[in-house]
Amino acid sequence: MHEELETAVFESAARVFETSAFMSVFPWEDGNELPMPDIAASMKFTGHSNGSLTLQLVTRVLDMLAENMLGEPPEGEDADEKRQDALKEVLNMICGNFLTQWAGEDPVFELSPPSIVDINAPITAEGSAAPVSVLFNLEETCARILVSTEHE
Amino acid sequence: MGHKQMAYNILIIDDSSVTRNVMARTIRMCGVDVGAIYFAENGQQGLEQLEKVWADMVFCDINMPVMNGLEFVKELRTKEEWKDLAVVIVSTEGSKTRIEELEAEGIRGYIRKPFTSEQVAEMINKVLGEGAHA
Repeated sequence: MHEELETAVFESAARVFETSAFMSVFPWEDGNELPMPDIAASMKFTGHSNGSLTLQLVTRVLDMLAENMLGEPPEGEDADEKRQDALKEVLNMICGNFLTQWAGEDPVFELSPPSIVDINAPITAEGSAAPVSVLFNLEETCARILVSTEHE
Repeated sequence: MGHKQMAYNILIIDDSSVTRNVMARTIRMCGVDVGAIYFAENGQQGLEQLEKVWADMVFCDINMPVMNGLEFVKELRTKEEWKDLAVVIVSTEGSKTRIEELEAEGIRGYIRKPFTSEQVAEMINKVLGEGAHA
Protein backbone atom coordinates (compact mmCIF):
# COMPACT_ATOMS: atom_id res chain seq x y z
CA MET A 1 0.00 0.00 0.00
CA HIS A 2 2.94 2.26 0.81
CA GLU A 3 4.35 1.54 -2.61
CA GLU A 4 1.03 2.38 -4.31
CA LEU A 5 0.97 5.70 -2.55
CA GLU A 6 4.56 6.52 -3.53
CA THR A 7 3.88 5.53 -7.14
CA ALA A 8 0.76 7.69 -7.26
CA VAL A 9 2.69 10.65 -5.86
CA PHE A 10 5.60 10.28 -8.28
CA GLU A 11 3.42 9.73 -11.35
CA SER A 12 1.20 12.68 -10.48
CA ALA A 13 4.21 14.94 -9.99
CA ALA A 14 5.71 13.82 -13.29
CA ARG A 15 2.46 14.35 -15.15
CA VAL A 16 1.95 17.84 -13.72
CA PHE A 17 5.51 19.14 -14.12
CA GLU A 18 5.89 17.74 -17.63
CA THR A 19 2.48 18.82 -18.94
CA SER A 20 2.09 22.21 -17.31
CA ALA A 21 5.71 23.36 -17.10
CA PHE A 22 7.64 21.17 -19.58
CA MET A 23 10.05 20.16 -16.81
CA SER A 24 11.77 16.79 -16.63
CA VAL A 25 11.08 14.50 -13.70
CA PHE A 26 13.10 11.37 -12.96
CA PRO A 27 13.12 8.90 -10.09
CA TRP A 28 15.55 9.68 -7.31
CA GLU A 29 18.74 7.64 -7.32
CA ASP A 30 20.68 6.91 -4.16
CA GLY A 31 23.96 8.74 -4.23
CA ASN A 32 22.58 11.73 -6.11
CA GLU A 33 24.36 14.90 -5.10
CA LEU A 34 21.93 17.55 -6.20
CA PRO A 35 20.82 20.86 -4.68
CA MET A 36 18.39 20.21 -1.86
CA PRO A 37 14.99 21.94 -1.42
CA ASP A 38 14.80 25.27 0.36
CA ILE A 39 11.20 26.34 -0.25
CA ALA A 40 7.92 24.55 0.42
CA ALA A 41 4.18 24.78 -0.08
CA SER A 42 1.53 22.70 1.65
CA MET A 43 -2.17 21.97 1.43
CA LYS A 44 -4.71 19.83 3.23
CA PHE A 45 -7.40 17.51 1.95
CA THR A 46 -10.45 16.19 3.75
CA GLY A 47 -13.30 13.87 2.90
CA HIS A 48 -12.86 10.20 2.07
CA SER A 49 -9.54 10.48 3.90
CA ASN A 50 -7.90 13.40 5.68
CA GLY A 51 -4.33 14.43 5.11
CA SER A 52 -1.86 16.87 3.63
CA LEU A 53 0.58 17.21 0.79
CA THR A 54 3.76 19.27 1.02
CA LEU A 55 5.93 20.04 -2.01
CA GLN A 56 9.55 21.06 -1.42
CA LEU A 57 11.65 22.53 -4.23
CA VAL A 58 14.90 24.37 -4.81
CA THR A 59 14.21 28.10 -5.13
CA ARG A 60 16.08 28.50 -8.40
CA VAL A 61 13.79 25.96 -10.04
CA LEU A 62 10.87 28.31 -9.37
CA ASP A 63 12.12 30.75 -11.99
CA MET A 64 11.97 28.04 -14.63
CA LEU A 65 8.63 26.80 -13.33
CA ALA A 66 7.03 30.24 -13.39
CA GLU A 67 8.54 31.17 -16.75
CA ASN A 68 7.43 27.94 -18.40
CA MET A 69 3.90 28.21 -17.02
CA LEU A 70 3.45 31.90 -17.72
CA GLY A 71 5.36 32.06 -20.99
CA GLU A 72 7.64 34.82 -19.73
CA PRO A 73 10.20 35.27 -16.94
CA PRO A 74 8.72 36.41 -13.60
CA GLU A 75 9.86 40.03 -13.44
CA GLY A 76 8.82 43.23 -11.77
CA GLU A 77 7.60 44.00 -8.29
CA ASP A 78 5.42 40.93 -8.13
CA ALA A 79 8.05 38.48 -9.42
CA ASP A 80 8.25 36.64 -6.07
CA GLU A 81 4.46 36.43 -5.91
CA LYS A 82 4.37 34.92 -9.41
CA ARG A 83 6.96 32.32 -8.43
CA GLN A 84 5.06 31.39 -5.30
CA ASP A 85 1.75 31.28 -7.17
CA ALA A 86 3.32 28.88 -9.66
CA LEU A 87 4.55 26.66 -6.82
CA LYS A 88 1.12 26.65 -5.15
CA GLU A 89 -0.70 25.90 -8.39
CA VAL A 90 1.62 23.01 -9.21
CA LEU A 91 1.02 21.59 -5.73
CA ASN A 92 -2.73 22.00 -6.22
CA MET A 93 -2.61 20.02 -9.47
CA ILE A 94 -0.36 17.32 -8.02
CA CYS A 95 -2.69 16.89 -5.05
CA GLY A 96 -5.80 16.57 -7.20
CA ASN A 97 -4.15 14.10 -9.55
CA PHE A 98 -2.64 12.11 -6.69
CA LEU A 99 -5.94 11.74 -4.84
CA THR A 100 -7.74 10.51 -7.95
CA GLN A 101 -5.00 8.04 -8.81
CA TRP A 102 -4.62 6.79 -5.23
CA ALA A 103 -8.25 6.74 -4.05
CA GLY A 104 -10.10 6.36 -7.36
CA GLU A 105 -12.77 8.48 -9.06
CA ASP A 106 -15.59 7.76 -6.63
CA PRO A 107 -14.40 9.44 -3.40
CA VAL A 108 -14.99 13.16 -2.95
CA PHE A 109 -12.29 15.32 -1.42
CA GLU A 110 -12.26 18.94 -0.33
CA LEU A 111 -8.94 20.66 -0.96
CA SER A 112 -7.70 23.61 1.05
CA PRO A 113 -5.94 26.45 -0.78
CA PRO A 114 -2.17 25.82 -0.90
CA SER A 115 0.11 28.06 1.15
CA ILE A 116 3.84 28.68 1.40
CA VAL A 117 5.24 27.10 4.59
CA ASP A 118 8.50 26.99 6.52
CA ILE A 119 10.50 24.16 4.95
CA ASN A 120 11.84 23.19 8.37
CA ALA A 121 8.41 22.97 10.00
CA PRO A 122 7.53 19.41 11.05
CA ILE A 123 4.83 17.65 9.07
CA THR A 124 1.92 16.73 11.31
CA ALA A 125 1.07 13.05 11.02
CA GLU A 126 -2.59 12.22 10.37
CA GLY A 127 -3.74 9.31 12.46
CA SER A 128 -1.11 6.71 13.24
CA ALA A 129 0.62 6.68 9.85
CA ALA A 130 3.93 8.53 9.60
CA PRO A 131 4.30 10.96 6.69
CA VAL A 132 5.57 9.36 3.49
CA SER A 133 8.46 11.09 1.75
CA VAL A 134 8.91 10.82 -2.03
CA LEU A 135 12.10 12.24 -3.50
CA PHE A 136 12.55 12.88 -7.21
CA ASN A 137 14.93 14.55 -9.62
CA LEU A 138 13.42 17.74 -11.01
CA GLU A 139 15.62 19.36 -13.65
CA GLU A 140 18.75 18.13 -11.88
CA THR A 141 17.68 19.33 -8.45
CA CYS A 142 16.17 17.44 -5.55
CA ALA A 143 12.42 17.80 -5.05
CA ARG A 144 10.37 16.16 -2.33
CA ILE A 145 6.70 15.51 -1.71
CA LEU A 146 5.59 14.62 1.79
CA VAL A 147 2.23 12.93 2.16
CA SER A 148 0.48 12.57 5.45
CA THR A 149 -2.77 10.63 5.43
CA GLU A 150 -4.97 8.63 7.75
CA HIS A 151 -4.87 5.63 5.46
CA GLU A 152 -2.07 4.21 3.28
CA MET B 1 -17.26 32.85 -51.33
CA GLY B 2 -15.23 32.48 -48.15
CA HIS B 3 -16.88 32.34 -44.76
CA LYS B 4 -15.18 34.22 -41.94
CA GLN B 5 -15.56 32.54 -38.58
CA MET B 6 -16.62 34.99 -35.89
CA ALA B 7 -14.11 35.61 -33.09
CA TYR B 8 -15.19 34.21 -29.75
CA ASN B 9 -15.06 36.02 -26.43
CA ILE B 10 -14.07 33.86 -23.49
CA LEU B 11 -14.34 34.35 -19.72
CA ILE B 12 -11.82 32.55 -17.47
CA ILE B 13 -12.73 32.11 -13.80
CA ASP B 14 -10.02 30.81 -11.44
CA ASP B 15 -8.62 32.01 -8.13
CA SER B 16 -5.05 31.25 -9.30
CA SER B 17 -3.49 34.08 -11.31
CA VAL B 18 -1.05 31.57 -12.77
CA THR B 19 -3.86 29.38 -14.05
CA ARG B 20 -5.71 32.35 -15.52
CA ASN B 21 -2.56 33.34 -17.41
CA VAL B 22 -1.79 29.80 -18.51
CA MET B 23 -5.36 29.28 -19.66
CA ALA B 24 -5.38 32.55 -21.63
CA ARG B 25 -2.07 31.73 -23.27
CA THR B 26 -3.25 28.22 -24.11
CA ILE B 27 -6.47 29.52 -25.60
CA ARG B 28 -4.61 32.04 -27.80
CA MET B 29 -2.20 29.30 -28.97
CA CYS B 30 -4.79 26.68 -29.79
CA GLY B 31 -5.72 27.97 -33.24
CA VAL B 32 -9.27 29.06 -32.46
CA ASP B 33 -10.31 32.56 -33.51
CA VAL B 34 -10.44 34.24 -30.11
CA GLY B 35 -11.56 37.83 -29.62
CA ALA B 36 -11.47 39.15 -26.06
CA ILE B 37 -10.49 37.11 -23.02
CA TYR B 38 -11.91 38.26 -19.69
CA PHE B 39 -10.88 37.18 -16.21
CA ALA B 40 -12.44 36.68 -12.79
CA GLU B 41 -11.06 35.33 -9.52
CA ASN B 42 -14.23 33.60 -8.35
CA GLY B 43 -17.80 32.90 -9.35
CA GLN B 44 -19.11 36.16 -7.94
CA GLN B 45 -16.63 38.20 -9.97
CA GLY B 46 -17.53 36.03 -12.96
CA LEU B 47 -21.17 37.06 -12.66
CA GLU B 48 -20.14 40.71 -12.33
CA GLN B 49 -18.07 40.41 -15.50
CA LEU B 50 -20.99 38.91 -17.40
CA GLU B 51 -23.10 41.90 -16.41
CA LYS B 52 -20.60 44.09 -18.28
CA VAL B 53 -19.23 42.03 -21.19
CA TRP B 54 -20.34 39.46 -23.73
CA ALA B 55 -18.84 36.00 -23.45
CA ASP B 56 -19.48 33.06 -25.75
CA MET B 57 -17.96 30.56 -23.39
CA VAL B 58 -16.73 30.28 -19.81
CA PHE B 59 -13.87 28.22 -18.45
CA CYS B 60 -14.37 27.87 -14.71
CA ASP B 61 -12.56 26.24 -11.80
CA ILE B 62 -14.46 24.43 -9.05
CA ASN B 63 -12.67 25.24 -5.80
CA MET B 64 -12.67 29.02 -5.34
CA PRO B 65 -13.38 31.29 -2.38
CA VAL B 66 -16.44 33.59 -2.20
CA MET B 67 -18.38 31.60 -4.86
CA ASN B 68 -17.18 28.23 -6.16
CA GLY B 69 -17.72 26.73 -9.59
CA LEU B 70 -20.85 24.77 -8.73
CA GLU B 71 -22.47 27.78 -7.07
CA PHE B 72 -21.56 29.90 -10.10
CA VAL B 73 -23.16 27.47 -12.55
CA LYS B 74 -26.30 27.18 -10.43
CA GLU B 75 -26.60 30.95 -10.21
CA LEU B 76 -26.07 31.27 -13.96
CA ARG B 77 -28.98 28.93 -14.69
CA THR B 78 -31.38 31.11 -12.73
CA LYS B 79 -30.88 34.02 -15.15
CA GLU B 80 -32.75 33.88 -18.45
CA GLU B 81 -29.98 35.71 -20.36
CA TRP B 82 -27.30 33.28 -19.20
CA LYS B 83 -29.09 29.98 -18.78
CA ASP B 84 -27.66 28.59 -22.02
CA LEU B 85 -24.16 30.09 -21.69
CA ALA B 86 -21.57 27.40 -22.37
CA VAL B 87 -19.55 26.59 -19.26
CA VAL B 88 -16.58 24.21 -19.22
CA ILE B 89 -15.12 23.24 -15.89
CA VAL B 90 -11.31 23.17 -15.56
CA SER B 91 -10.21 21.58 -12.34
CA THR B 92 -7.87 19.23 -10.54
CA GLU B 93 -10.93 17.38 -9.21
CA GLY B 94 -11.50 13.88 -10.50
CA SER B 95 -14.48 12.84 -8.41
CA LYS B 96 -17.27 11.26 -10.47
CA THR B 97 -19.83 12.51 -7.99
CA ARG B 98 -18.68 16.12 -8.36
CA ILE B 99 -18.59 15.89 -12.15
CA GLU B 100 -22.09 14.37 -12.28
CA GLU B 101 -23.35 17.15 -10.03
CA LEU B 102 -21.98 19.71 -12.45
CA GLU B 103 -23.26 17.89 -15.51
CA ALA B 104 -26.73 17.94 -13.96
CA GLU B 105 -26.40 21.74 -13.94
CA GLY B 106 -25.73 21.72 -17.67
CA ILE B 107 -21.98 22.20 -18.05
CA ARG B 108 -20.78 21.49 -21.59
CA GLY B 109 -17.52 19.82 -20.68
CA TYR B 110 -14.83 19.07 -18.15
CA ILE B 111 -11.05 19.36 -18.46
CA ARG B 112 -8.70 17.97 -15.81
CA LYS B 113 -5.62 19.98 -14.88
CA PRO B 114 -2.90 19.80 -16.09
CA PHE B 115 -4.33 20.41 -19.56
CA THR B 116 -2.76 20.61 -23.00
CA SER B 117 -3.51 23.15 -25.70
CA GLU B 118 -4.95 20.32 -27.80
CA GLN B 119 -7.51 19.53 -25.11
CA VAL B 120 -8.52 23.18 -24.90
CA ALA B 121 -8.81 23.54 -28.69
CA GLU B 122 -10.86 20.36 -28.93
CA MET B 123 -13.19 21.57 -26.20
CA ILE B 124 -13.67 25.03 -27.71
CA ASN B 125 -14.41 23.55 -31.13
CA LYS B 126 -16.77 20.97 -29.63
CA VAL B 127 -18.69 23.48 -27.53
CA LEU B 128 -18.83 26.46 -29.85
CA GLY B 129 -19.22 24.28 -32.91
CA GLU B 130 -22.59 23.28 -31.49
CA GLY B 131 -23.71 26.92 -31.71
CA ALA B 132 -22.57 29.97 -29.79
CA HIS B 133 -24.58 31.50 -26.96
CA ALA B 134 -27.65 33.12 -28.56
